[in-house]
Amino acid sequence: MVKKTLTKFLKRLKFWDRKRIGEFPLEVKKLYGGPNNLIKNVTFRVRKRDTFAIVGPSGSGKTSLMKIILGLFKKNSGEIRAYGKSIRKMKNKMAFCPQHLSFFSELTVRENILLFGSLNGLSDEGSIEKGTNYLKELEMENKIDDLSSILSGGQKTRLNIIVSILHEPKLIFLDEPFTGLDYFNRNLLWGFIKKLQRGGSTVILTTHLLTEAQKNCNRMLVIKEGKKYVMGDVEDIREKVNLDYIYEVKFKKISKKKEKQIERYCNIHNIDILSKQVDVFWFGIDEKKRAKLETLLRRFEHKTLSIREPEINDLFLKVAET
Amino acid sequence: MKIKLPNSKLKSLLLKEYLLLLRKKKFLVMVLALPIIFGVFYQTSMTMEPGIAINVGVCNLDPSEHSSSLVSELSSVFSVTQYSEPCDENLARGVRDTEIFLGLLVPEDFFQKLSTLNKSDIFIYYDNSNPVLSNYLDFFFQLSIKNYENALLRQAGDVVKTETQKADLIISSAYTVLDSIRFLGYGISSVADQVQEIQQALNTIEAMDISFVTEPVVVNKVGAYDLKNESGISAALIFGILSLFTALLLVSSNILSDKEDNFIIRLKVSKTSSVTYLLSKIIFFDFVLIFQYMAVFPLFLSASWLNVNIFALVFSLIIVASINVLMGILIGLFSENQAIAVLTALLLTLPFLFMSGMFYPRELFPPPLKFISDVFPLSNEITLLKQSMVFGYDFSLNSTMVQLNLMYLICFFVVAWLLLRFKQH
Repeated sequence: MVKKTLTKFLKRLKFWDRKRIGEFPLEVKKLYGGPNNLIKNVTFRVRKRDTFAIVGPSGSGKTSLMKIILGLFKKNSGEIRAYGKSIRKMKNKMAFCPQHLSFFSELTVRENILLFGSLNGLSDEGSIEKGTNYLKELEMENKIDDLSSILSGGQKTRLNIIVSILHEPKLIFLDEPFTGLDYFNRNLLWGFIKKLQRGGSTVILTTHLLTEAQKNCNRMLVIKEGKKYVMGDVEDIREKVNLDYIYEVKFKKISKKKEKQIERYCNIHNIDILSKQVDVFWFGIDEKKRAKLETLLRRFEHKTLSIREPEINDLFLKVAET
Repeated sequence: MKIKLPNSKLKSLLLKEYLLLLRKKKFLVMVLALPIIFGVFYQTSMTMEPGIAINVGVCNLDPSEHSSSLVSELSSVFSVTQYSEPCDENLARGVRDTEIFLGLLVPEDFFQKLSTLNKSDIFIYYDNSNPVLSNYLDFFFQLSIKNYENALLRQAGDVVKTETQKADLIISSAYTVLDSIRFLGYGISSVADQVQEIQQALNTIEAMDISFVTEPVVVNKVGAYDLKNESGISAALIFGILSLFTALLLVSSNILSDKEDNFIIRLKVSKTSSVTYLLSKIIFFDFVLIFQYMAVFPLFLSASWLNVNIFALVFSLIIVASINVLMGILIGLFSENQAIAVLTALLLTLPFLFMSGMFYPRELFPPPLKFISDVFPLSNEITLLKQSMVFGYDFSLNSTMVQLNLMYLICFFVVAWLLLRFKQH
């Protein structure tokens, strides 16, 4: 017990080690706040050049957490540091791209670039130079003199990101940047994010696209009901949710009565029903519960469609369901 | 022909409107408050009696009883204070120093003219920079001397009647005397006397000014101020109101569109400060408001504008426009959507107009209302504009009105900055 407490204490001490302050682009400690005090006791740290995803079920507080960090929502307590300093002092090294389009559709792409560049202290030449480079990277270089209102949905999202990062920030916050984008646009954007990361920027984003986040992000922070659920890579999440196998099972002649019997059995034996679609059930179990599940399956006529290791989406279902 | 209404669809649409209205609390409050406030102000402005005693200064140079009865007639409506000579100087000063609202000068020959059935002049000294107040007081004054004028007319009628009866009587006697002469050759000198009397009686009637019957007492209005630019009075009022209306509606919707486009969020995370943002709004909309004013300016253009200090004029326009722009910004920051912003702007505009003395002279408000009126920005904005546009004051930071308006400007700026800085958007 003493050892455990001591380890915990030392770990905390290490977390806020003064010598290491400034090493991390973002450090959040015991953060509380947001609308209806949604965010509770969130602590995490983002490393340099991380592509860091904040994920969680709808309404879990991803955007609120991001907005508290950026000072857009009020925090009740806790510490937030960017490169060891107050967020307020690091505005010139930061960028935020809101989920909804936030440029002026009445202006041309060039005019928007000039406006947002100037807001971040860039000269006209500097803004146009940076803007043109980014437009080229995002395959929009021929759109510079077009009115922003006539751009396609994907192009508008790309412009939304471009106008946010003209000042070459080191720490970039993107709120749901892939919402409503097709595969082509998402791919283009992930490639762009990777380039930014290679260029030395740290990207923090919120997303629902778990498979893509798993593929493209170094680390993920899973938020649930405003609290940190787990942080790390997929393995860390898997360890936390304690999920080893996913059974996809199709029951024959399923009735309401049978369904209730299955649910009751699962409740008693702590077997997770991650999802169900009429007669197809997805069971999530750890190694220890495998025998119990097989006992259940023997009772009902069924066909096992697949037994596999959980993917990120399955882990997420477990997070949402827990 | 039977008309079939789409009952269920109509019902659903109506229900949707009702529920949306019900769920937007601010909107609901505004919708209910608007007719109440408009109704109260309209009713009040239509029926309001003066909330304080109206002080009138009287300088009576006519020693006759008639002039005293005029003064006593006034006393029944106004609170009368006696002023001594030099009348014109003292009465004008009294109006300027706001000791009195009106000054009345009764000239020496007041009764003498009336006694010969001629129109007689009186002079009233009034605040010629305040048309609302002077029109209101003029109405009251005319009303108050109406009884006196009626009495005068009755007396004049009596005089005419007496003189005519007298002439008639003398003419009858003259006929009798003429008959005596014809038969007895008697009393030639007596006839001559009587004809002379007739002539005198007829002269009195002849000398009567016919317009005396319609207006026995002529009220001459004398402005208490030596105005440098009289056309500035309406110009000051129009700029004050026009800029208030435009700023509240235009600026609040502009701020809302910035909020809806997430521009304020971008601004807050950018290097650009909230102060720069507010300044940009103030400068731009000041320009719009002053430009808009310049478009109507030719209507008031006269040579007298050359008498005012252009620097002071421009400065007062900028201060007033900036205050109104900041109020628009506050409404925009406070409102969640365009509908609430428009209703809030309307909700503020009418009390502002009423309190500024547009419909009813604020100088005559009851003390608590007068205090509110003194605190409301529009009244002080119009006073500041008048100082530069009408009186041709130079700009001075020592002026109370400049200080007061600058205080509004600073207060509104600080509140707008705080809202922008700390309100969650």
